[in-house]
Amino acid sequence: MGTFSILPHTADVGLALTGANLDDLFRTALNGMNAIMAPGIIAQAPSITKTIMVESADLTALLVDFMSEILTNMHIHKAVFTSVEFNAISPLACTAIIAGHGVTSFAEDIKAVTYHEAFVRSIDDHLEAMIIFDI
Amino acid sequence: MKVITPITQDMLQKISSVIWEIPRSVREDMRVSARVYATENMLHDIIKDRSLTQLINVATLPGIVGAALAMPDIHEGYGFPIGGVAAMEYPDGVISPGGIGYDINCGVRLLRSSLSLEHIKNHLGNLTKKLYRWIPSGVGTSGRLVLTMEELNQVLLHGAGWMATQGYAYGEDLIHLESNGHLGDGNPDFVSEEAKMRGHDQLGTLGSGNHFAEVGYVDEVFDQKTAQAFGLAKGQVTVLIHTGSRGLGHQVATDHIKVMGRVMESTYGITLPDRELACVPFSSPEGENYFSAMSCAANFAWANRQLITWEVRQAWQEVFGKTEELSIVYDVAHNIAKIETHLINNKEKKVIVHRKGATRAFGPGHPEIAEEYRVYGQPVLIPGSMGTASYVLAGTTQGMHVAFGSSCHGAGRVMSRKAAKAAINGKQLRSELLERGIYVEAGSIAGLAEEAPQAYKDIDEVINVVHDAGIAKKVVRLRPVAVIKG
Repeated sequence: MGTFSILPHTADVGLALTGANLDDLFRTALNGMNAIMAPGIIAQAPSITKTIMVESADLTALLVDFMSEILTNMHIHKAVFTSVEFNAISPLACTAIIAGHGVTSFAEDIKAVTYHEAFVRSIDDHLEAMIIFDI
Repeated sequence: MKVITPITQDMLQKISSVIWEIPRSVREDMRVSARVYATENMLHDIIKDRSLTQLINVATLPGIVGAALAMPDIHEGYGFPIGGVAAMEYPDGVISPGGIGYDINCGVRLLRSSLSLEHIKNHLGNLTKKLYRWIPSGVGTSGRLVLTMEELNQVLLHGAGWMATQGYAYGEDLIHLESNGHLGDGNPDFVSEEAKMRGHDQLGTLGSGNHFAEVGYVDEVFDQKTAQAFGLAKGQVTVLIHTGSRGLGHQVATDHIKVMGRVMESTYGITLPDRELACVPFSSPEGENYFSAMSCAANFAWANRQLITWEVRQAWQEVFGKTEELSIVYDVAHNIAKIETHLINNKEKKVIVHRKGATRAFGPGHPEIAEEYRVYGQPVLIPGSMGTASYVLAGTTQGMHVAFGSSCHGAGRVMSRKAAKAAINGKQLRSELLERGIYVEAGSIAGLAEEAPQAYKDIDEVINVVHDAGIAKKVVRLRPVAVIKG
């Protein structure tokens, strides 16, 4: 089971992540972003479902681009996505179905998921990652 | 992967009490030197974060000319530091979305009233509530206009000009905006559907974070003649508006950083120490597409501030009557890239000026300044942190020569948002501000704590650096009496 912690950054905010594998890491990243934008959100019966397909130059970019896709959908649909099912995930591409429900507002406005200081690396038997959001 | 050495104060050469230089010799990949505007006292804090490393990274960008500049409100960002200015050769130097920021054309507009503080004192509670009701604010809030895609494309092409055609501007509004509220290089085809969907219902909204609308008054005049030319006098009530291109601009930046990241090295052979500096030659298809999209987002931001101006005017007239008007003093962008002509090695050259958390500050005589201000220099609007002072400055000839006609953009953060929320009680802050005569309406009490004055540098010190360095001169200082926040 992955873990996340919210990191302070002078003008922004970051997430430190761990995950047992790619699936777990990416799922944990989504939970972390939800904890910033909609803290305390309780999953409801999904009313919005979206398919996300991302291809990137490397694994770090894939995590950033995956999170960017979800963020875009959150803003466009004014929704929080509380579940993700991966149809396929590899270090350079993933296809996933995200599901969630509408919200009236967000607690924090994440403008963008940045590549700034982002990394994904293998440590022993798990993965570690960091991403910084522009607030 | 390059090894980046942390910056220490002994790497900086003192040019004057407020100017410091990082020579090219500090890091072998620097193409030009870097220059920091700050007091020695401020420098002690600046070197604590990675903003100077980021400034040095800027100095490595292909095509950079002169020096990479840091204004005194510098702090760590992503790619460029906030408070960074860099000019690139036109048209083959690079354009970098990381040198502009995600909130494209985040900027500030100043309105002046015909009323004095004495006139409005007893109406402040009511005025604050009316403004809060008229100006939608907060995360994901929709505005009063939900645009069709055709209407949105017109906004992206014409900026504040489109708002004028819809009845949201007075006759002289547009001539008092930087670039008259419109960049001509926009092409909506290079703005993604996602960006358009994020923005189509956000015109006329403040958003959250450090965005605000603030009623204030002129509490000190430093330059009587210039203040008079700007239509400002001691005691006069003003309104500051600070916001940008909302989700549309954020998405434009996200989309194009991703594109540039893919081609930067493989197609253009550019390698950089930070992938947030993703860039391509301006003259490349990716560079031209981004500049078109950025211009559209900048136009959206000017349209946004125009509709908010209309909303402020509605609230104002509800409180003070239909005959009370608010005129625009000026409107400046502080996250933008523009093609400008500057003196480079004593020769006039077109350059691509990136300002990220920095304000254009053109000196006297520049043809882009509104005629009535031209002899005095461009009005430069610098908001302070909530509850402190804001300033109006004027651009100078010296600033044109040494800073590509640029100045700082605000106080500059020193405390992270998380640390501010932990250290400051939002409710208590609101009470303290009210005790000082400052009314606050905010969508989020936690958000209020994030923007507490303690989270920012001392605006007076920042402004004095700019003034003493001669890159902009002080005209008037404003004090707040009512603040609307998302």
